Amino acid sequence: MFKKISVLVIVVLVGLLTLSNMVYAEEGELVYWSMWEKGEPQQKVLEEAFNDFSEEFDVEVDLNWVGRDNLTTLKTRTLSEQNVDLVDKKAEEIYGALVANDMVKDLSNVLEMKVPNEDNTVGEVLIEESYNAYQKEDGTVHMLPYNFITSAFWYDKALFRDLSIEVPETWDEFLVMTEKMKENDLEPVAFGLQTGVYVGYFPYLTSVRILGEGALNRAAGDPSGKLFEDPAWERVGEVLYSFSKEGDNLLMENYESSVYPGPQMDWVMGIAGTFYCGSWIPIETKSAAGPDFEYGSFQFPTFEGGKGDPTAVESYPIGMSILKNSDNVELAEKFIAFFSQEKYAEKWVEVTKNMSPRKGVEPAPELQDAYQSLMKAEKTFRLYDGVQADYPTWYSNVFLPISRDVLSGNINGKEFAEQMRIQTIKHWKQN
Amino acid sequence: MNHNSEVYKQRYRKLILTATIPVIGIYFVFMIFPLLQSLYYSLFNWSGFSKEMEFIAANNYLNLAKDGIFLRTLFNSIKYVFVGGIVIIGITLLFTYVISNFKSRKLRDIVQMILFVPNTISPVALALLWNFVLNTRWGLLNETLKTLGLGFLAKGWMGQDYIFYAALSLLVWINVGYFIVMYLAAVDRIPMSLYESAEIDGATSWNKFTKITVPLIKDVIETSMVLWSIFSFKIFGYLFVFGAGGAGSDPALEIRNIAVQIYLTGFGKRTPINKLGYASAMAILLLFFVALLVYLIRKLVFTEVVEY
Repeated sequence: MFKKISVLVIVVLVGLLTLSNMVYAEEGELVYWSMWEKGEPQQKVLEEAFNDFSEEFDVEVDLNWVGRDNLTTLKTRTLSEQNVDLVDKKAEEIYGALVANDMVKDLSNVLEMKVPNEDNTVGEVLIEESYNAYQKEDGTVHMLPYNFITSAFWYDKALFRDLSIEVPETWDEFLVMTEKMKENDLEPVAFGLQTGVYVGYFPYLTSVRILGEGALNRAAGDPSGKLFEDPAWERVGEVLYSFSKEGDNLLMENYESSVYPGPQMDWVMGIAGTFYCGSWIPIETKSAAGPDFEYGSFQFPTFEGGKGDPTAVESYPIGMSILKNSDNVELAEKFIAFFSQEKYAEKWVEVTKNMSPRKGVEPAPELQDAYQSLMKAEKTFRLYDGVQADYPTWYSNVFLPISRDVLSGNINGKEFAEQMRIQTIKHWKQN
Repeated sequence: MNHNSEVYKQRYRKLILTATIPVIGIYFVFMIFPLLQSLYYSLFNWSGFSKEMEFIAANNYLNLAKDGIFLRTLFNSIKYVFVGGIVIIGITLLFTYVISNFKSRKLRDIVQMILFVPNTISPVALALLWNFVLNTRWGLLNETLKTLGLGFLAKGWMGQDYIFYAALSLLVWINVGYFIVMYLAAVDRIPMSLYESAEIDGATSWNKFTKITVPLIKDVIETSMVLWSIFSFKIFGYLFVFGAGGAGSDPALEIRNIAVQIYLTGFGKRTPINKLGYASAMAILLLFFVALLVYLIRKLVFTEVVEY
């Protein structure tokens, strides 16, 4: 019996090994490790493009629709030395996970490649502002976008028209707007203090406008904490404090306990006048918005004497990277160029209702304002000024807790700047 | 047959070996080996993406002792064990008292089934449902309180002050349903004659519960305490989604336990921390805490099983 069971165990193990070898990619096959799941509109467009690519260049493609945790599963895949050629994700996550660990190759050469069936190169057809925030000084860039996301204050144009509210550009105009909303029983800004995505927006945007693009990133990475001694940080803190219920009370009622999707629902139902969020919000809220709801957006206001470029917008693209140890680098590069074709960019906009980073491809009307802001921008900056990707533990353990404190009114502007300095020093001593 | 005889030994030795070796093999491959691997990784500075690892000896453990966020999640985990344990076992006992007094077996089964239902639903769906129930402005709980004229009791349940208890309430709801099945099964094995003689002596239902039921299901209560201690340290799905509400944000610090913190540190959610070596050190400490706690509970609480 012992022999029989031993034979059975060996047979099962050999079977498992054979099976695991079968799921390995075949040689010469382009392996794509996707952040999208089967059935999503984005997946459909990409699958069609991969199939066209496969047909046109007579290559095999292995499409893995892994979903949002694709970078987590990429770890086991690469550690077990299974080939992955192409991977996609939001830029900050690619930079924080893959670029930081030297996993992906420079794609600046792809910018020089000709787009198949067209006359221009990839670099010529892409809007530069859709990726240049991620380009290093030497020109290297490790991800090329196929989807452009930015963030803005979103509002209902019809409501603003009815209440004769002007879209603000400066902080003073923003305060006028909030006063007018309060007079009309509107809560000015929909917001949720318990959702990290929302909490990080105003602190980083205020610092970008007052101290300039990259200032928060530099201060976060300074172990001495000295950069936070700049009095401008106190001004940043004062602006943030003014949002809180202890300050000018600009945020919606019960914002301290509001979590997703509370704030966006309160905004789209007309309880709050504006909502700061990424450009995915029209798609997310469309089904809940009334038929007369007209999506509009405006950029975070500027401040008198602020060092930030007043036209600068956030650049938060989703794009593709090629693994450094990819077996099919050339094929992967070829696909990135192939997917830059106008017909796929147009399909992307039409099917996914997102923005394309390709020049001349207009987005849906809901995203027009955000798109125009991008077109006018002379500068771009990374989401959270890049601190989430470059200093993730600092972002999580220092930036978010202190931001939450000031936005809840527990600390004032001066204490905000002081806490940022002290906690940054403490953080770098420990890490 | 004599168990010490050669025939017995020869006949059954092979059977015992063939029966246990695969189990031990599987246990080693899927439990012991990963545990030893985690212990090994915990001595390195490692992101988990490549094979490049920097040996830092016990530095990960030393840093954990100074890591305020980790210590907070440890404190939360202990709070879940004790506060959650007291509430869950208390409510389960109360339900046991009420349900075991039902005259109708059918009614008892229906109530038991209703209480067990949360255990059959996906943690993600339950956590999202709870987010909606506890929404401050339009959640079911606050709306009900307002309708009943108890609006002064309506709170921002998901705010920093209450979110831990909001998360705990979800865990209580789920786990009471789980433990009640165990408790009622234990009640069923108590001989009816004990209750009948108590009734003749004039005992009330509460007297019978406290003097007969509870002492005779004490072993099950103790087992549930051990199980809850292990569960509470390992809870992941509910807390990962609860509060963050599916928006891709990390769960609020107020509700994070060590299991959630291990995932956030090792793999990140939206924040790409990717410190797998450091997360491995947390996992080893988690194992140590669970083992210590189970040992202490068994040492302090466990009593001899009553035979009847």
